Amino acid sequence: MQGVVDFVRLYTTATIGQRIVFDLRNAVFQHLSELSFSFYDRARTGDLMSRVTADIDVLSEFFGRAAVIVLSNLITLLGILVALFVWDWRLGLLYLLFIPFMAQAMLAYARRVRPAMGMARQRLARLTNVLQESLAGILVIKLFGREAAEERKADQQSAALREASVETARISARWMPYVNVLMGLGTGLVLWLGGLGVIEGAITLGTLIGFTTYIGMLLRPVRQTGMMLNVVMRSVAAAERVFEVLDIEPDVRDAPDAYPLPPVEGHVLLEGVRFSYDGENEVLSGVDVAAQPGEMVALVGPSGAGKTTLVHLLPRFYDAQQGRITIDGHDIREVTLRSLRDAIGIALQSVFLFDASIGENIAYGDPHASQERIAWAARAVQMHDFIAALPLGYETPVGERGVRLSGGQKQRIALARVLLRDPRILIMDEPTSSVDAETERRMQAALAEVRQGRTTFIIAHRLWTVQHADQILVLRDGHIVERGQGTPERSAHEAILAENGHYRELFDLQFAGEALASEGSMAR
Amino acid sequence: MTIRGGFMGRLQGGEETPYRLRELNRRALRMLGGYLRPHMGRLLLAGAAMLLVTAATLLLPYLAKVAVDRYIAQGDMRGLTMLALLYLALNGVYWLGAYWQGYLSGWVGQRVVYALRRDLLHHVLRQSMAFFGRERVGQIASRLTNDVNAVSEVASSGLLSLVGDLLSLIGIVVAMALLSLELTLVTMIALPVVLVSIGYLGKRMRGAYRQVQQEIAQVNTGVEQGVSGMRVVQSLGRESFTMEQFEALSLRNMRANLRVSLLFAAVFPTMTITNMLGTVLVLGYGGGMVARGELSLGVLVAFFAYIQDLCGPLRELSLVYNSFQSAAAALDHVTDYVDREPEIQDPVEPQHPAGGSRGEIALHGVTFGYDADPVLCEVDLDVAAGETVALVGPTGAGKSTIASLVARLYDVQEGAVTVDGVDVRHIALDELHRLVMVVPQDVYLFPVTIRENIRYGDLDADDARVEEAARRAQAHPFIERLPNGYDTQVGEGGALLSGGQRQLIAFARALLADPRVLILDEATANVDAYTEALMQRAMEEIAHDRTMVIIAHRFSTLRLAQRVFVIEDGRVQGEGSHEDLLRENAVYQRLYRRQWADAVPERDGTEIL
Repeated sequence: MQGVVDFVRLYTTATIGQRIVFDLRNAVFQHLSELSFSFYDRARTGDLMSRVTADIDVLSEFFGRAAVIVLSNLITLLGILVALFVWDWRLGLLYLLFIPFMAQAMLAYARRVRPAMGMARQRLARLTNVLQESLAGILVIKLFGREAAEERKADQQSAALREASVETARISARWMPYVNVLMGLGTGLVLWLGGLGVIEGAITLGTLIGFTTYIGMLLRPVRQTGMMLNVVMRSVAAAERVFEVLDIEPDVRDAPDAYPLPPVEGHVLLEGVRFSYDGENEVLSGVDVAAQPGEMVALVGPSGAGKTTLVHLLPRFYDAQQGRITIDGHDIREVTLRSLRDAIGIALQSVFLFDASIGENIAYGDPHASQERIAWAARAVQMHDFIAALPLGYETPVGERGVRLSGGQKQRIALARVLLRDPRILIMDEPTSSVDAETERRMQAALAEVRQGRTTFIIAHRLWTVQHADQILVLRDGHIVERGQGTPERSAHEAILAENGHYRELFDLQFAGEALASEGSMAR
Repeated sequence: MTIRGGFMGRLQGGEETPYRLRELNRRALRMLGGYLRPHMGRLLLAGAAMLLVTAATLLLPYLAKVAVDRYIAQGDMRGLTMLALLYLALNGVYWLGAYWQGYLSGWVGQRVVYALRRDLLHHVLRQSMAFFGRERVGQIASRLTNDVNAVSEVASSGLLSLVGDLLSLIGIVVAMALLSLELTLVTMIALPVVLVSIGYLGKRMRGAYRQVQQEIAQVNTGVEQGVSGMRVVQSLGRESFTMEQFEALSLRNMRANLRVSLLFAAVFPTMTITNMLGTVLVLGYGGGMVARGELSLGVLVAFFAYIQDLCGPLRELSLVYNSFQSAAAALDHVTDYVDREPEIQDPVEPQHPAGGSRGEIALHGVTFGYDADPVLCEVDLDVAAGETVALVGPTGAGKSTIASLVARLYDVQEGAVTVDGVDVRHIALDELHRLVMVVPQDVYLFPVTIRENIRYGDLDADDARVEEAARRAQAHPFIERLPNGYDTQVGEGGALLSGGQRQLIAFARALLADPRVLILDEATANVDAYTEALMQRAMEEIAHDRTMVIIAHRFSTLRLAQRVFVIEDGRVQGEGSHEDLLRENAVYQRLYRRQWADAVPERDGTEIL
């Protein structure tokens, strides 16, 4: 009977516990997905992995086992207490005397072991971090033959973790048996005093034996609780680390009275925008841009001039410190993030494909897209024929287990993903840098079509990809140093070339490279 | 319609496959034994301490019996006091023993885990790129942390307490039998049932644990993918969808955990029942014996204590057993990895080129594919020492694959790759790494400072040499303009730098390594025209004293090349100088014309020509 009750109780508690862990883990992930780019600029993947998996796993152990056992032991303790009081209230009182000592013993242990365990958790996270970084950079490690150096690095962390764990073990070894010892002392004391009492006739032998039996029954729950206290303490340390993540406030979020952005026409206006990643060094120092609906705005300039930063401000990956950005006159900080990002499609510079099929990767842009739409997007980036020729077609997984894609192919899939969203404002950050010229040329035609009716921002280093732009902005050290505006008579490209400034210089440099390559014969 | 477009899609691909139980193989145990051996001395000490603990545990109830029967019943106060003192002293012995047992076993256990982790990492890092293509980062990381941690519990305290608990069990039973065989037999009635059911549950438990660890590795991968892809997720506004996917993984993890809880919940009451049964039996049967005068009251007292003591180790055994199952499952995973021979092996007897390393590379009839489909078909290619050649062709033609083969990231399926006439499979890997360097297309930077990233090319280089390399790579000007200069943190994967800046740093890193053969795979794809011109100049300069292979699909980068190889569909479609190819090679002409048509802006081009 008791067994069945135990089973039900254990299992229910475990179910509730696991449910809590499940919810917590999801909450953390949810929170992570709300944190802005600035968080991810600094975040360490390994550290987050350790928090969301290992630390929460400890909590799951806590809820799965420890909580149940601690709880059931508490119930046992209370049960014995009640039984004793019913039997003889003096014995009950005597028994009560034990409790503060026991509590003190457990507290003594907890206080000492907690910092050590926190340290161990932290070092485990650091180790995870080092491991994750090594694994992520494995190609570079292989190329340079640095396996041994990576091992040394991991070794250091691993050794640090070992020391922290040994310290934890030492503290545990010292203070966990302390509870048992206290119990033993108590029993010894009772036997002695009680024995004297029996001899003097103050109490009966039966009472003494009964009492020692009850104390004996205490031994097990107390011992177990002591053991579980370890898990509990570890859980506390882990929980602290998990809550640290939950406590981070996203620095880009909806204003309290945010409203959804109404259907977008495509006026994009940046006024006196200043931005700095660290609050000290300005990356954009007062930038003004005005794009009309349907216009194509090209951003050119040297690496690190702030081009990418500028376009990252539009979907509010970061918030500008000064100045304002409006879309159709709506300040982007006043509309909801969801509606803002729905209106904008951005192909990021660094390509990231998910561990899924090609079709899934494209469909990531719009989960409700039909197969036709997906094929349409793939055609626009000149990938459809290639994909269709694969044995598994769009179902082909990306990566080693499926098709190995070249840099240019990945880039195009990432772009297709964005096109599928059919955004009113399209941003492309070096969309064709890894694409060969032939393909790029074919893409240009398709993209020109896609661009129709959308306000487009494009960042490019190859200047011929921007010659059809309606506006060309040259960025340098966070300033727009040159602008070309197209007119019906003259393209922006021509206009800005005529200024004989930075753009001209860049153009000549690039063109010189091409011209040199073609030195001599021109098979035309 | 099924949900599509998920990054964790494949993680959920297979339905939960029930784990087929393999017997805890002797190999795994032997492995663990090998790790324990160096610490034999300490282990023996810990064992001795454990014996003290066991002895104290066994003696304490006996002392209680003696107190009752011999002193209290006889009214011997002095004796009772002496005994009480002995009782206290024994408690002290217990504490001392328990401390040393716990501390020493923890000490040994953590060292075992440390060594295991070190060896596992050593093994993993020596796997070829093919391995890293198949396995996910999150999964491998999980093996190295979560699984090894699971082993740690057993290796540290588990093993000893297992022995300790078993010893106490036997000791208790013997002690009880000595006091009263009859009562002992009666009390033990329930034991076989308990043992059988624990045995059965334990088996199930190990399978359940393996499932748990598999699921947690999946969650780990999910987090890893989610975090590294979060920028994309946010830019596409797919947070809620990603969340759903993660929840699915999380749910599976929960289910696996619940299965363990279910089993555990079944084990635990079994113990409780034994406990209750034992107490009832002692009370009923033993009480009767006392009443009939067949048993002394003291023995009954001792029996009560022993029954409690008996259940302690039994229960703890079930706990330890639990972590044992979990460790066994983890060990299974770990041995899975250790059993895998690295595909790229260092040659047993490395060969050296006859005339020293010059930097001559050649591919002889090389056929290679990452899977069944060949990427390269019978490719022949040769580059003389000191020569600069270019590989040209559309994306996906197999150019990067050639670079990977020369650096021996993969081994060819047919034919051979040679450096200075020696098959790369016969060159010591260390030497090959010094000889050949590839600047890959996907630049990866470590999340440290710019300086440290460049220094990765030569760990012994001082700051001056790091700067010198940066200068040669034309990275110095931009680095200097950064507020923190060379000490700028680049962020994870170099996220805090622009694409062009990352490429420059990767270039500098390779230059610092100063290889005989430098392969640049699209090294200028993301840089602006100005930087590109500077890099071209840099390349020109460094080409003087080494062999250089430039992979490009743009012609502007080719002017340094003395010879050009045209690669298309995994074959060499032509080779020769730019001019010759332009005259004679149809593929090259086509590629070139396309590009040229773009390179010359329609309205403006003529005036420059």
